[in-house]
Amino acid sequence: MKQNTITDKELKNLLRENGLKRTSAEFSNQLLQSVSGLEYSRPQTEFSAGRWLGKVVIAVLVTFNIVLFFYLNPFSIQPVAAVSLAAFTLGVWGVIVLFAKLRLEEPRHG
Amino acid sequence: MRLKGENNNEDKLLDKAIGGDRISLNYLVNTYKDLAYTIAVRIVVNHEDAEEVVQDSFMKAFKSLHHFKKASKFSTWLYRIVYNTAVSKVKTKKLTITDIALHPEVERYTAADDQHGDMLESEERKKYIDLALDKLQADDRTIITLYYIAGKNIAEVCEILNMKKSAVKMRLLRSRKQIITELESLLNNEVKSLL
Repeated sequence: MKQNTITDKELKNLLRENGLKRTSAEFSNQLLQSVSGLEYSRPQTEFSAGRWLGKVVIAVLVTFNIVLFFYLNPFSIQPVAAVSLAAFTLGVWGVIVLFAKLRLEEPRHG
Repeated sequence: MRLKGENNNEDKLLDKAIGGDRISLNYLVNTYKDLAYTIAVRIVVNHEDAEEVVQDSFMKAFKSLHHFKKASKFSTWLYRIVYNTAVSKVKTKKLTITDIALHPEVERYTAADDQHGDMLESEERKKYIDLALDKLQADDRTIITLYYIAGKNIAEVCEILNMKKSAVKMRLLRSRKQIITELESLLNNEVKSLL
């Protein structure tokens, strides 16, 4: 078998020293100007208080729903339907959590 | 993936750049423009197209800089944008990215080989490297560029090219062998004088 005369380190040095292509000064200036010009159209930072307010509103609404559910006591009226509904809700919630987890496990870019 | 505390300086520069600091923007552009251009030109082959790709990629990246979550290095994120933009450019121009014909200069360089003897100047070295890289498939050229020239590790190359680790490793091994063989055949066993 033929032995390679260049080692991995030598190839790395050779490519680093000679493989890099440089942009022209004219293009570099043009690029700098384009990028610098972008800062003026950059959007404002997100209003973070809005996100917290939304979470509070959702928490209040969910609490009211649970309290109402507790007072109505659906298990005493129609146990089969109530248990089916609860199982369905739990199943849907489980699927949503599973999808969210799978999505998080995907490689993130940025 | 990057470790906590890694590239703190770059994080500070990025924060400043997001705030519109011109010096930080200039620093980021100057740091990455050449490597971005190298990646682009290895894919689209043509210098004008490569400049367009770099321009588009930088505009895309800096426009959405405030969306950059720092889950990976800025360079990895930027090179991924460059790679995708370059591949789209090739597709729109209906060029094949798997194989490219030898440049007209290739034959010229090869013929010039005999005249120059063993003294290889810097420009000649670059020409030989270009020749050897041109003989690789476009994806292999990109992998070699990212791994050896940009100094990215296998995981980062996978992230940029959206390829599996095994595929990148296999292609890297294959293209490394091929580039060495090409350099040896181009230089008729004068490879060591390049180093």
